Amino acid sequence: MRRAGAAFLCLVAPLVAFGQTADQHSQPPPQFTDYRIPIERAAAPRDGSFQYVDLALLACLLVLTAWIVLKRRSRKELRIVSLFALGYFGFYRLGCVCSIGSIQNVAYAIAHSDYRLPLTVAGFFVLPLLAALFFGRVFCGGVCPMGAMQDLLLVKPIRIPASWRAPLEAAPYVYLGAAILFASTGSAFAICEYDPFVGFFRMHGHFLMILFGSAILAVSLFIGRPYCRFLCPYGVLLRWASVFAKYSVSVTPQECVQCHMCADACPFEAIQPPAIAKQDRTEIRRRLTRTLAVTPILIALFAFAGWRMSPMMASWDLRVHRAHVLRDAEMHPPKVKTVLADAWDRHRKTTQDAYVEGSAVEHEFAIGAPILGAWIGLVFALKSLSNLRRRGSNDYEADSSSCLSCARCYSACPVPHREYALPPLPMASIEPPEPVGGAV
Amino acid sequence: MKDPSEPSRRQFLRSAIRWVALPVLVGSVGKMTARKGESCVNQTICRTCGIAETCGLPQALSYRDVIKREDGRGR
Amino acid sequence: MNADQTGWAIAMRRCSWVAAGLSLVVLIALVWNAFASRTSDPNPPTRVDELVTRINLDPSNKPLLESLRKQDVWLRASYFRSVQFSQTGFVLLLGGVFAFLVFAKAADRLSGKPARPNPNEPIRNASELLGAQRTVLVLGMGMGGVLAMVATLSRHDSVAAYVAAKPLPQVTPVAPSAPQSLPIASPGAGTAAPAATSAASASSVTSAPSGPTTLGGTSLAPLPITGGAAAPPNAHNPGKPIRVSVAPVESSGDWPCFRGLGAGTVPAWKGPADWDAVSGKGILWKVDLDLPGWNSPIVQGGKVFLAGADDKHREICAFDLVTGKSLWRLGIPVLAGTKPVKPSPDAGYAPSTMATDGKRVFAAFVDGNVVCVSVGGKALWGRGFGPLENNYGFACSLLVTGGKLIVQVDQGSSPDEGKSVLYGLDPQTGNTVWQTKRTVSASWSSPVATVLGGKPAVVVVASPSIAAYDASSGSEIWHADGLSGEIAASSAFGDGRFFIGQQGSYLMAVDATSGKVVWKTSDPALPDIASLVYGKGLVFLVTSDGTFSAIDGASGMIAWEKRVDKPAKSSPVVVGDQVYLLGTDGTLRTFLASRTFQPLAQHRLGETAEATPAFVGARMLLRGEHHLFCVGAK
Repeated sequence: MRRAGAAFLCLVAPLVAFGQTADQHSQPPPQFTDYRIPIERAAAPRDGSFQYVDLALLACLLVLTAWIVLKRRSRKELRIVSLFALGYFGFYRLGCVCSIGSIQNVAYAIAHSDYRLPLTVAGFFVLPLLAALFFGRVFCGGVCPMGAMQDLLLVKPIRIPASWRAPLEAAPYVYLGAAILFASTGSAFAICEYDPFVGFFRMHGHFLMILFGSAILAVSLFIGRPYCRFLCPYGVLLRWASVFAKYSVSVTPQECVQCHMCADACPFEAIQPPAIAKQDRTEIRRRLTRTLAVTPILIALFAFAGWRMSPMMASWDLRVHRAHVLRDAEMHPPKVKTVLADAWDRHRKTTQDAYVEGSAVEHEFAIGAPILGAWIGLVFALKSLSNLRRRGSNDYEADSSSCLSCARCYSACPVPHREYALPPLPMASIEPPEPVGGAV
Repeated sequence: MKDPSEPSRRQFLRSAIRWVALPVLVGSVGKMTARKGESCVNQTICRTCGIAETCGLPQALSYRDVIKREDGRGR
Repeated sequence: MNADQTGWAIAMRRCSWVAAGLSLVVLIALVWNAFASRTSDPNPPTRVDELVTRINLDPSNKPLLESLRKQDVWLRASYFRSVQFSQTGFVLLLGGVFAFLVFAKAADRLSGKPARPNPNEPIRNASELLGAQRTVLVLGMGMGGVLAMVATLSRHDSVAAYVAAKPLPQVTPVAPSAPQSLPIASPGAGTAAPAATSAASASSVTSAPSGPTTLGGTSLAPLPITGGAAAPPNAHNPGKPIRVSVAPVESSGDWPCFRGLGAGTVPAWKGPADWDAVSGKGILWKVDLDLPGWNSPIVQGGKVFLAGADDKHREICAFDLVTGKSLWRLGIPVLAGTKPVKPSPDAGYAPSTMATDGKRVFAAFVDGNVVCVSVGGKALWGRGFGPLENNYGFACSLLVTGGKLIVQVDQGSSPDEGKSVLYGLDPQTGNTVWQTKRTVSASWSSPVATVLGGKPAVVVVASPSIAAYDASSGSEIWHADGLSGEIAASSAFGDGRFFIGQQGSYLMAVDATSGKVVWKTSDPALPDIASLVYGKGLVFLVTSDGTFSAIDGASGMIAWEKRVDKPAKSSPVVVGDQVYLLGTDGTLRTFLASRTFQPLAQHRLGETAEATPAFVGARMLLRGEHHLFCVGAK
């Protein structure tokens, strides 16, 4: 009942509220007056030096989080840091610039040599990855405002079976590939356009954005960090970097007693049980062979689909869409000229110019879309293979690429920390009691 | 925390990749940052950008042209 | 869990319910606000749009204006109150939800069961992973297969195909060419026109006209209606002509049609530099007009002709050009079978300017009746071309060229309906010599006479094209697409090009020889009623709300654009090196026909005016709402 109530409130309430506040600028101008609506101008952005403040703060928080997670092992202190990050990077800086969106700028910069990557964006892209190379996903644990928001809302985590979890974990890779394709062609910054949280940070957003965000938050009541685990494209890069981390989370401060309590406490299923002694290697080898045989087919299927669908994907680009609209208008002239055609004419360009421009974009998609398709096929194949990987450890360990450095497992582990361990009981120093009533 | 001095082949490989990835990452992103030219600071949305009046990017030029027309026509 | 913890857990749970309850109340209030705020006023005001309509009909009604303003203020205040309520409610809702979550989490933590070891987990996990491996593989194959199939079956147009396709007429700015007079050019490679249908046969008079009746001292001879088709006349079966008159004569009028033979240009006019109809200065004569009409005066053989009509009467008048004396007034009856038309106040019952071939004058009325009267005032024949499927009725002016009376019947809401027809009638008999179907929609522009390939031709405009037709046969010489909407402005001509523009569409320059679009732009404020005129290398446009523009004829660039803030429906006329623009306020403004905006003079007519001036010799004829004025040097 509580869960249903919580879900209802979290999902429906913001929609109603935002629906009323979202469009405050739709009032028609007054009638029969000479009043001219002034053109809106935004306030000047804050001083350029503040970007260094943001970067410095980001770096400090990363280091602080690493110290809290790896050395202090304190969830309470980590929560304070993540709340601060939520407040500063989320509600104060309105969620922009964020590391997740920085992927697009970098992709665009790679594809366009005349585009200069802003320093802030570069910093937000690089610093968390550098931190991950050394300390694991500390960015997720204490700095990312999106993760902090979801973490805050987690009430009663439920466990997702591996059969459901594994395909979902492929989604961030697909999202990453699509975001890079659309960003590098200059078609769209999809990560920003479909960001579910920025509407909450800004207290303003269009209906679908808020709906999506509300759904994510509602789910995060019961499923730990759903966006981070099943959507976040930057998480893919952090995953890769964390594999090579120098220092990573060690659940037990001393020896693992195989009690599984840390795995129960982890809401993200990031703690791996130890390898079992007996495993059917024949079955695993068979599945491995089958998967490897199917991999090229998978890649080919998706690559083919990408190639065939590239004109459709390209039509999401404004330049291609414009070419289609202008062509439609040429073939069937409308009664009133469309705004788009009018704007195009104002730029003194011909429809052929539009067609050539759109065709160039289509050509980029004709190359990029099959690559994206092949990437998706490869992701499915590798995801399938990763479930066959033999666990080498005999202890319960946090998988460095999946562990979000939330520090929940520390308090669940019954093994005391070496610093707080009691001294061993003296074994041979017990003396027999004095006989009662004198010597015999 | 794990004892970092414990040697293993896996650790060595990880270390090597880490120290290769670091300069590659920093170097490539740094190079993109050091390019000459203007960057858009407001996701090409000129109307709400505070530096639209002085920006030299093509979309800002186009935006200022549109504003001039709107001002001239009293819209 | 100890008793203390249990107590706290219960307390936290209760707090969470209170917070949830409060949030729900706020949510309901917000929903109520969203749906109910506008309708809760006990005194529902009149709708804003009704008030606006009433004010448009009676702009000087102050109480009505005041009522609208009050209504407007109330609506705005109500809206912002609602927004304020929503914002406050949202903040409260957020707080309530936050409080609920905090209490719920605390309650959960305090009442949760202690964790227990589970040594069987590794075995369960291993089998689960194998299941996951299969799921991912099957899902991947399934999705890949479905996507590949969908991708194979789907079709999406590629822009690359448009690049490879033959381009439609496009905008191509060209270098300025040398000035020319009317074009003498061979027919270009235009689109083949549909073949003109055979002419309808003439019928003879089967009954004598009824005797003349008087109307206010003027002789009135109603036109007898005989023979013809049994069905009422319509666009596809126009009523047959009813009387044969004298042999046709070549058009040789002084100002024989709308904007004269120069399409609104006059080489010179030696009229007074300063005149004023209010004081009478420079006014040679002024005559009363009995019936309203916005058609412009035409002049032939020293006579000025005008048509006027209201819902009950219609007439054609003739005045002496020199003295202004009324020569004759002929009442024109409505042809039998004509469906009555209620025209818009903008158009009136006689919006079309007359035409003359030297021996006869021709007039058209809003219901599609076209009549022919001799210059002496004798009714000759009449034909019905209505009812028309357009919003304003028949409003195209008539034209005589190439020995044919050109009647432009454009109707229909879409070009594909195929209801538009261009007629070439025998001026003598009214018989159809040729008729050409046109794939255009309704328009109210007028045909312009020209010469193409050494032959008389006529250029007409309607959405989506401007087209040239051979005046003798009706065959299409060329057409150029690119227009849209309701075309009311007629084209201008100069320097080997035709120019046409319409509000909501484009301004286009079309080569007179080939019909190719030379340039196309929507930058300027385009006209909605007044026709375009060309002079001194510039195209002059005026909108009905008073924006006056000069566009370079070679490139389409705006030379200047000024808001004169005075509405104008009359078409501008280029007179020598000046442009004459008659505003609806009855003020004629003159400007220099140059690349810089230079107003020269203003002259008052003293009454509303929408007709275009006519120039003959040293005289200028201006039609106001109630009078016809002749301006000239004494």
